[in-house]
Amino acid sequence: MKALLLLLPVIPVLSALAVGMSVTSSARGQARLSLAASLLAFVVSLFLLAGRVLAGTDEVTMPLGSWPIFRLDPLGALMAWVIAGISLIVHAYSVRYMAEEPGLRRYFALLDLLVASLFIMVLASDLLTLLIAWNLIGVFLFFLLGHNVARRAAGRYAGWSLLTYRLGDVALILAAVLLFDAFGTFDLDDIFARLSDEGSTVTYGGQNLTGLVAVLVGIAAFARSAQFLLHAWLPYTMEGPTPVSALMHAGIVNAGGFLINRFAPVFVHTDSVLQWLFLIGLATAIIGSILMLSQNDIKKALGYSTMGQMGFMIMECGVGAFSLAIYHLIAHGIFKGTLFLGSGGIIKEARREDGVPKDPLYKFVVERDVVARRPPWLLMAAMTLVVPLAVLGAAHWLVDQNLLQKQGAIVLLFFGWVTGAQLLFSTYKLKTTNPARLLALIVFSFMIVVVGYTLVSHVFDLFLYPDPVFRAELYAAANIDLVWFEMVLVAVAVVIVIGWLLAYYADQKGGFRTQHLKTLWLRFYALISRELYIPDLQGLISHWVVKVAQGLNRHLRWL
Amino acid sequence: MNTVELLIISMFFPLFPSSMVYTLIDRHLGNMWIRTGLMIVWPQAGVALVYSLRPEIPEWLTFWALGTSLLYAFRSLVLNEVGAWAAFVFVSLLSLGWLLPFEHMGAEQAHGVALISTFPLVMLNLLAVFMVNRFGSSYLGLVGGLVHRYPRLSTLLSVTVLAIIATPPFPLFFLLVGLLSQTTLGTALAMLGIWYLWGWAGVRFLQRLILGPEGHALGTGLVGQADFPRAMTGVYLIMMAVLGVVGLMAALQLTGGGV
Repeated sequence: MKALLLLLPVIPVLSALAVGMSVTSSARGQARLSLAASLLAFVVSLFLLAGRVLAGTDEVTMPLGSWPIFRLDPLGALMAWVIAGISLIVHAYSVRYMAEEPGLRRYFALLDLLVASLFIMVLASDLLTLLIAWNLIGVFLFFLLGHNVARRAAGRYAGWSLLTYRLGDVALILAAVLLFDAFGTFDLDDIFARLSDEGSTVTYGGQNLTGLVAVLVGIAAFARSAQFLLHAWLPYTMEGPTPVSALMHAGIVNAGGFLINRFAPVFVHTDSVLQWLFLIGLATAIIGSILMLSQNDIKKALGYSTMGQMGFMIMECGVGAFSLAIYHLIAHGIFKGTLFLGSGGIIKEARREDGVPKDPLYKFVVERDVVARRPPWLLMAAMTLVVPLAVLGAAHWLVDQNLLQKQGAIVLLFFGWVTGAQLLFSTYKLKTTNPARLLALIVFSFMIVVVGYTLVSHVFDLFLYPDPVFRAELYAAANIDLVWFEMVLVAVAVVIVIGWLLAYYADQKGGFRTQHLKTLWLRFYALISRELYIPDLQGLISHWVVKVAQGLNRHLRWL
Repeated sequence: MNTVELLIISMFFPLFPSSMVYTLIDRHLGNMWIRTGLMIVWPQAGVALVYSLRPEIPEWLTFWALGTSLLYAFRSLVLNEVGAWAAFVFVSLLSLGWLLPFEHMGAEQAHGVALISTFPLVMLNLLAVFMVNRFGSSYLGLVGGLVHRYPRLSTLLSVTVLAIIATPPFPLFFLLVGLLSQTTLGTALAMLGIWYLWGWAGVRFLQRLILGPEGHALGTGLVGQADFPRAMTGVYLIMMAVLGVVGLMAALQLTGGGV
């Protein structure tokens, strides 16, 4: 097992060296070599995951003298397998997709090095190894995003991503240094054990060490996972090759969720950091989703969609549902990767068939279709409220009878209920010749999704955090005062209901009628269509910084 | 007496404005080979002076050193010539020499640290020599977009710049982490600010030199087409790989021991 643990990151490194040194002369041969290496890495990761599942709680480590380097725990094994799987798909896709692109050798070598860094990150047993991998991911991604060297924009936005990542790196380095200063070790297991015993007594500048480290880790995760105010790079890095976008959205952006999970033993001892995580995640999820809806560039819309999903992932950590965040990042990685890799095919299909539904009158007169009907409004309204609640409640009760004693679980249930209700009611507009069949299918699909999601996330919970006491402590760390919690819940419910009513009103009346509301709406639209002016502001700040540096050099000359 | 000693040493571990001694000499030396040699000798002279004069380093001096390093890192953001960029980053790096715990290090170790830290900048100067010989200059605007026709030179430039801006596994990164763990929180923040500026300067440097459309000089077709020699590229990369291994050994040292 130890040999496999070392082999996993070594395989892509060797592949990068072989491709870089042109072991085979043809470009296609180099691509196939890289693909074969990624297949081998996937098989190794599968063995590691299987070994981890069968080994139970036995820890496997791979030290180099005093340097712990790698360890195989449930989180690392699972993430390594996911990364290997996504890497294999991206490699296989790239072989043909990139075949006629210039710089193929550079592309595959960098791709392999990026994957190796990702493996090192998830298997890291100490802070130094984690820092090395965390830094290198940003560097290799920079070169891959700038792969299309003829386009100035590709290099420009690749630079944005690296500089944002480096901000997160600063926070993570500082956290590592503080922990090393306090405990004299970089070993994560040692640090977590010592933090548990002495963390509350060590302070820096009047701040509790545990809280300080948790905040710094949170900032590092925010930069990597494009949380609000550190997000502007994400929608603009679409100039890179499509497979790189797929890998980035499926396996790199979500590293923030992994990092927070890796530091779960730190977050469990904090008082209010998880609540901040929740708020930042919530803001990111809302803003990302709003910006996604307002974009007319589909790639940018996909970028903002990822931002919204990453916000939701951080929110899940913020309510104490750490393993759910891992499940979410994997599920999101798979569907977003599919969207990116399938985008070419969808465009080709759309050119052949536009997909616009035919006019109902045409269908009735020419195609002689039966008139489509809607289900009864009252039935839909009742189902909208009752069905999601019943399905969610039953599914969650099945896995945990004490669920309602955890605030985080209530928040997630509430969120699931609102989402389910909106989903069900949106189907009211669908006309069909057989409304009963449509309704049955929708409810059945909803049940499959909810029960599947609940069961899989429960399995993740048991696998990643087998200790039930620790799981309960994670949820407890995310709790707030009960009175406040209930007040917030009621306030959010009221806001949502008002939102529904406004949407219904606007839909029925065909938009806002008063001039005042129209103007307000237009201003809001202008604001979001310019992405809240955040990329503009970022560009302006960097422009000013450059101007000041130029001015200094002009005045100081060679001094 | 201590002030005179500090003044002398500040020529070699620059404190603004004594940093002008190095920058002026570097500017007026036209020959890149001599400039490269100076880059090797300068920090070694500084270390030798520290151990022969053994001055007491007051605490306020470290803030001055941090300010100097920050200033030159900031100014390097917009420099357009490879040699000049290397010189300014060199000054920024050397200023941090004041933070080294000389009293806990042997002279040999300090000489080694100085050599390893500045080695990538020396290597960059060698690449600048090649660029001047091949293109007539190493101005970024004139020779940008190198990767199109000069992939080997671009690879070497990228690896070297990554080593300069303290990217792991190169030694400067681990030296920085080691230094950070021995300083106060404020000093650590300032050092990380400098590290961030190096990164920014490095990104801008690579963006203009390697990525993007070809520069004017390359577009005219008046310059030679031959890339960096293949054999030399191999030797260069082996040297950088050795530097990476030295970095990993420094990391091993940080973890508290050996293999």
